[in-house]
Amino acid sequence: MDKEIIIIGSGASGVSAALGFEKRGIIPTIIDVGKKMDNTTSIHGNLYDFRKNNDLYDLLIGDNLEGVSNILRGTSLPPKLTAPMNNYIVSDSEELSPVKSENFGAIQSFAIGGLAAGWGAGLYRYNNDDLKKLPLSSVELESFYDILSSEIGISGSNDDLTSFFGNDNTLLPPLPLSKKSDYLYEKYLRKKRMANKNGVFLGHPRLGVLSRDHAERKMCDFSNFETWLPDIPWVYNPAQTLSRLIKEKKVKYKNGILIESWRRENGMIILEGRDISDGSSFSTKAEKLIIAAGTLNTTKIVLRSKKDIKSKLNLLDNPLLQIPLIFPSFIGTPIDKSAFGMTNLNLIYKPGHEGNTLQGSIIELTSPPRSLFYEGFPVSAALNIKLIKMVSPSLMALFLFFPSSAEEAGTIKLNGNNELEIAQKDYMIDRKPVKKIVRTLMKMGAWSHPLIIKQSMPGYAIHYAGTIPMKRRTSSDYESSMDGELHNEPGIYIADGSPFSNISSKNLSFTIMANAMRIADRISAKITK
Amino acid sequence: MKTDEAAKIYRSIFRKNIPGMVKQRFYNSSLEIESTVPECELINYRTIIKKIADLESVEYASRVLNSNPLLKKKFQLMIYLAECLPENYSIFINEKKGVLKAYFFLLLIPFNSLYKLTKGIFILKIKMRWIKK
Ligand SMILES: Cc1cc2nc3c(=O)[nH]c(=O)nc-3n(C[C@H](O)[C@H](O)[C@H](O)COP(=O)(O)OP(=O)(O)OC[C@H]3O[C@@H](n4cnc5c(N)ncnc54)[C@H](O)[C@@H]3O)c2cc1C
Repeated sequence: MDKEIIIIGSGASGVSAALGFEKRGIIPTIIDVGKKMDNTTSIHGNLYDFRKNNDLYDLLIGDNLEGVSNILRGTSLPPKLTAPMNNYIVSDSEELSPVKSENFGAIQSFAIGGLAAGWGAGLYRYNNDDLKKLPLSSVELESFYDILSSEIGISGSNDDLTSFFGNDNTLLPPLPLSKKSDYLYEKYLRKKRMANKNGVFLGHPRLGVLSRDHAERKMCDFSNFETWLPDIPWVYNPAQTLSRLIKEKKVKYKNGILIESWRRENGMIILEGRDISDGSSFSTKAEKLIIAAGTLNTTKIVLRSKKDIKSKLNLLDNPLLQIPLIFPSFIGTPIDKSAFGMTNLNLIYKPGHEGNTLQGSIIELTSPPRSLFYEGFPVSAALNIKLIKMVSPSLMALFLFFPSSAEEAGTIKLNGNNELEIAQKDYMIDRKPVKKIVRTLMKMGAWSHPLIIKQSMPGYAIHYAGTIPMKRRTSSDYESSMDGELHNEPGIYIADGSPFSNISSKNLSFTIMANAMRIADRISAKITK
Repeated sequence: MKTDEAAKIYRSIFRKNIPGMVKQRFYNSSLEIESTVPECELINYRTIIKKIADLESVEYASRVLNSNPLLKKKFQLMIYLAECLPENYSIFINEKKGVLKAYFFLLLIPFNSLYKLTKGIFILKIKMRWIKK
């Protein structure tokens, strides 16, 4: 291969970097493991109509028991990632990049599109408040957010959350709410003064989910299949953009390759790795290398290239509380068959005094299998099944995200066997705001209780960041410049979550994407000059 | 022993005979699930299946006391397998309004739970010890 610009990874950050090059007509090569889904499906229509006439085994359990892997292994992967048809997103990650940890649930993807092939697609712009501990301002990201927004098609509205999410004129209309969300939102609008006084604000989420046809993708059909089927066209997946870029010959794509490290030879960057189909070694030259392999794997590639098995780097993830919400007036009512089975509303908690702003996603639970609720009801089996039927239609979940900085960070290092080792510090989430949020929601018809709130294992928010902080002036091997360039490594750039040494409670990926585009744009500007 | 296991678990959850397809799938996945627990746990599980009539109480107590992981896993697996069948659709999915009925069930919970839990704990702590002797 000739010397060229190489991006590692086809996830949200890698594909966004490619978009950054598209702007100036530069054609990069994406090298990727890039697992594809094993089987395509022609299933369509409504989940509940489908369920009445079809055996769900292939969708719910799978030949390799993927669907019940949480039961087998005691893990808590989200149902979307265990669904057999979506399992390609995380499959083989333990073999391709083993992680040792006792207290951090590391979720990795080697799929085309990366983790975003199975994400919730909540896409939020960071404002200056979110960026205040980073050497970056929202103005530097704004134009890239805009380009991404029109590429993706983001639904949402300018409502009570606009002051947190930003005024966005490119938004598609918000998705219609499910019955329970509509009920909650109505109550919120009526009791807004009380809620806002308690620091609680509700509004439509900003979602990479189409509320009307966009480019060549179909709008959401409210079939509730979101948990079950792969590559649903109305939920944005970077693989969709990648496929457009390949078709338009704006990117070259090589998958099946696991990059392990780089070395320098006569001023060139030599990338080394292996072909995962037969284990044979692979190497290629690059003039510029953009590493966007996801925070965990980017960190691994960097540490391995530096043959460093000693350094411990910070690793962040948003602390996360899962708060079940029960709507008593929906107990015993039929299940909402035509809903968007993911985030329906966002909640922002902004304390009047000092304290962190928290972000919550209020998630509709009409899509996942009903069996998922079994563990959640602390009653005996026969009654449990009746509760699943009667009570699950009245349930939603609030996923409440907390910001994370060096104080809560865990550490990540490489060991002598080329495995990552992650150790998470013990920290207690401050539950005071949670009480206030729960009390406010109860006044709006959504019941919960501190005893049923679960703190997720660190790692399960899946917003990994902070291993290679972005600095105005770099001074150590594991820092990157404002251009994304790794300290003392000319031509090597870090373009995923790794440079974000502080993350606000807002889901980070849209900002990772805008930053990856910004980095690519800066590289292109230098090249074209 | 094997036939008993699937049928017994299914009956204690759904109060019905197990459909052939569920039984077959349960046994197909049983080896895999058994490989996730140590031998002593497997022996304990087999004793429970063989000697205890009220599996429902024992599984409930095990969930509360955080013991007998294999029994809990097998119950969960059975529920997933049962949910796959279209004939079980109405066991899991509510299509009719039944608010009163639902609240009636909710009222039953504390009584049922107390009874089942006490019974389950009694079996696990006293009867099982006696059986093992
Ligand atoms: C269930 C779920 C819900 C989520 N919901 C949200 C949400 O609502 N909002 C939000 O902001 N975020 C969400 N996230 C997180 C979000 O998906 C990730 O932050 C984001 O996708 C990270 O993108 P990335 O490109 O940096 O890395 P990844 O997605 O990890 O992509 C890495 C890519 O690099 C490739 N790769 C890795 N290592 C190598 C190697 N050594 N050699 C070659 N290729 C390699 C992989 O094949 C893959 O293509 C969610 C995640 C999950 C799983």
